[in-house]
Amino acid sequence: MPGGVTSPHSVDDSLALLAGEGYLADRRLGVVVHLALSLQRPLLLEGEAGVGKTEVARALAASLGRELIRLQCYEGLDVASAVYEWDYLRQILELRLAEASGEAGSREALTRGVFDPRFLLRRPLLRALEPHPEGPPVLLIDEIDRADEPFEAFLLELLSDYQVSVPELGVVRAAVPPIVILTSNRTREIHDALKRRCLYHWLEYPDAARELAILKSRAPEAGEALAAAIVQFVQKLRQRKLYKAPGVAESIDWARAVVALGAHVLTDEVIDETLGVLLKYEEDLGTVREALASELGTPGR
Amino acid sequence: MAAAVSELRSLPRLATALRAGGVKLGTDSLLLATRALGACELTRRTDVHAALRCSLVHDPGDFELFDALFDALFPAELNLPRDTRPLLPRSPLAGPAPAMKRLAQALLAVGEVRRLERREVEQTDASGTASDSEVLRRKDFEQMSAAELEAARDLLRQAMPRDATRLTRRHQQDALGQQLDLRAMLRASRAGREFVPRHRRLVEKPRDWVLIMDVSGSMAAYSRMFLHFAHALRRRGGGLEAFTFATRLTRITRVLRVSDPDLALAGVTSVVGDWDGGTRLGDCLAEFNRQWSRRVLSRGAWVLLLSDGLERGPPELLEAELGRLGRLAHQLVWLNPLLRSASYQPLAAGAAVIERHASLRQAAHNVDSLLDLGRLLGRRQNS
Repeated sequence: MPGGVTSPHSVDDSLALLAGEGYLADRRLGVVVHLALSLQRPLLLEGEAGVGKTEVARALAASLGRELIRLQCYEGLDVASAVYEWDYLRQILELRLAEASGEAGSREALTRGVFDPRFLLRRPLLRALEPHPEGPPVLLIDEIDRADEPFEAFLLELLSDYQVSVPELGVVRAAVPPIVILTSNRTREIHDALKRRCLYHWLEYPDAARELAILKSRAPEAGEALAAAIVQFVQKLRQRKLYKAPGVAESIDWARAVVALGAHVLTDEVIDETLGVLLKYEEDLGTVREALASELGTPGR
Repeated sequence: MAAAVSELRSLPRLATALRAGGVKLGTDSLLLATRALGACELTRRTDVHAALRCSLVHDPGDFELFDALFDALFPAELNLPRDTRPLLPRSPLAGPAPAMKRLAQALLAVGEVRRLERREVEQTDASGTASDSEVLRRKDFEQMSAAELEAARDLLRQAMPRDATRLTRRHQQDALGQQLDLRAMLRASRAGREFVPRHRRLVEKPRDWVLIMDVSGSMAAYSRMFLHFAHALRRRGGGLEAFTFATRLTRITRVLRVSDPDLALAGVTSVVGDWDGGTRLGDCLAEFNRQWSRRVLSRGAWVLLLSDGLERGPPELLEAELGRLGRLAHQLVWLNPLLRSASYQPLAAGAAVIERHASLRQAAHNVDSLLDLGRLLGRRQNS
């Protein structure tokens, strides 16, 4: 690949690539990322909020030296905000100027002048298809479950041909397809057809050993003992029936919060003061605070 | 790099078994799997497993089935040191049993025969007068004979309740719309001489419905009819999610998707394990709130709780979970067969709690009351 780092050739390469940016993936994710890169297939990552779906795209882009183009999905997302839009006000202004200066000329010429790439607003999907000097970009289509079905259907077409047509300008086609990563929190089932286009991976919470390694690399200021205590506590929390179990992102935030308070060990007091970093539902805070007093409490380490 | 012969040979068998287990699998997925095998190290069993799973299975709910089949079809000893070999491959039949039953029924065309029989009945019944059907619409499900129940469910299927809509964030052209559609205006004028105003407005869509149905013993007379109602609602257009509960919560959305009502209901019977059990509404709603609410209530859905409110669990739990459900739902509607009598008072502990949290309540004991539901929701459009 020109400029950037070369694509990985094996699962181990892919794992190393992610690890280079501080993303410690398990073997399974390594296989899937490797396949997405070598087969040039979109990768659909599903999992609970905060398990690190978006981070995969970030880490890949950074370690490959590619641009990260992110499209945040929401209901009603349409071609105008996902692919392209004409800058109407500037177009109208241009028309008026042409009229005023008397060089209006033929209708034909005017039309050409107005539908000019100068007036094209390039949205993420169009930008992802255009050539990039450092190699194809990483296109992150975040939280696809928030978009609605019509957008999904459009995406299906885009992801099979890697081309879009702008009626006034013609077809834009990617010479090399971008690396596409879709994430979903499963607030809605994604349509089967779209899933079949993609390699599918369900991201789990990491086990204790991996979470400890992640904490050490992402929040090194916490130190070995504190990090271990945090991981142990968080892993125990995930066993409980909560509305929203804390994700890895929350563990990292929590470690930083505890350190920011100047604490070096997890006492019940520290936990109580900072629990809001970890749990975001009033009901969860209630049940955990109750349990802290009894079985969950740390034995004064 | 070609995939090893043994892996490729097992692939079609794996695919056949997955399909039999209810996993939708196209040829494109099989091709993808073949390419995936070609692109990874075949000496590592976990890699082969991950490569096949990410290309063939797209739902974590199917992972268990896939893992069992993989263990059975790709023997561990090929590539792995002895001590890590699983003790016994699980039977591939253990996972998809209900699906197998579905398949067998489909092959034997049980549904087809029954449908034909029913059609004959319908034809003879068609001679019945309008007043017969009026009576039928008002009659309590509980007091119906088998034949009447059959006729009632056909009535339910034919009439669709009127629907309530919600505004989406998407626009469509509409001459009466409030917003100017600049895109359409510029495109229509092209040479930019004369601009004709074009308008657009937000698109309306039917609201999603979430049905949570009580199938406990006290509701036995009604639960089958509710299921038919739920099945008929599939044609409605908007999203539909359906759950049953007695002592535990079961999601039946998937089995209800089968278009034949008899097969769909047979599917429900095979997945619901707590028919006619006691009622633990609090626990079941807790389960719903934790596991499902974020997935099925994110678009302002109506929640229809079909229950008589006879609860065996602690009222405090029910109070907390219903409160939460009420806040998450667009509107919480309580459908209660006992409301047929005007003098009904929600005296049971559970009923009183539901009464407090539901924003609407409606009787649900006969065809008319179920169809009335549509009118009730339609009136409260976008409120």
